[in-house]
Amino acid sequence: MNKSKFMSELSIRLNTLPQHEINKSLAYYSEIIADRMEDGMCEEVAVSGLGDIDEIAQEIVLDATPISKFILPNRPLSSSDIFLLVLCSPLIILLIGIVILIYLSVWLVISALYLINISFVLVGLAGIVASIVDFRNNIPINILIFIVSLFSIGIGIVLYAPIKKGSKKLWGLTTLVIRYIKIKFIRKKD
Amino acid sequence: MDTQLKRGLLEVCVLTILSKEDSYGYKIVRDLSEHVEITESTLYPILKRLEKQNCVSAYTVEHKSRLRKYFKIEQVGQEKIQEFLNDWESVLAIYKFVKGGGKDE
Repeated sequence: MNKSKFMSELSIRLNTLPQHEINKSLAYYSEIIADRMEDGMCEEVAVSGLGDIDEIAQEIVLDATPISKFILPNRPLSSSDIFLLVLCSPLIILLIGIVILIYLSVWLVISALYLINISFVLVGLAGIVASIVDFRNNIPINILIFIVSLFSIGIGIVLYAPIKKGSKKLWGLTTLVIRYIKIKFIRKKD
Repeated sequence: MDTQLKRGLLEVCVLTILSKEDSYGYKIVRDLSEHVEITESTLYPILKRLEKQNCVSAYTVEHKSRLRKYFKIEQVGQEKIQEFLNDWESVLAIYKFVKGGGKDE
């Protein structure tokens, strides 16, 4: 296969993507083929060395397509589709609800972790201010409050990095789940 | 090797190449293939993801009457390399433990 044939074949396989995504992919492969040829390969070898065009297209589509596009059909819904949708609507609503709940839970856990972190710092700051303002009234207690407040701020600062890392991992997990679902749907369509 | 693990490792490998100098698709593959198995088709989604995560930025340079897209590592990308190095310290410790059949050294 020569370069222009490869580009047009790839373009056809990517036709479900927005035009700017198609252009970006074509520009990348055009540049790669030109670089391979500049490195001394003939056009045929430069193209064939890229691998199977179907796999290339599938990887691009998988990455650039939102999950909803994999689930909903491209064609307009037929009457039997609508009948089945109505019949299965309780199940569909339940499934959508579960997905939303999982997403919300992840966000809630992440938000809660950050809120705990902020609370430690804010409580610490409030404690320091309170102990300074009220210092003369009860010196031993205020010294204790001051020290505990410093600890609280310290805990807040120390916890920030692991919370940030944990949140990233948690969010990364949802991305993995979405990719897994996309792959399942692509295989079903094939 | 697990696909997700390999994707993550390749991302860090690409960032490491870019931490030395700005580079472009074909050169990244050429430089990396001495150390890991990678193709241009595998690299494309990796570069896209890294760009989306602000780990790298892209700019184009004219080269022999055509445009060549260069990638540059950003601060987030540098942090990702460091994060990987820190994570793998503990993974290596577990590896040694498993390889040693659970015995203390």
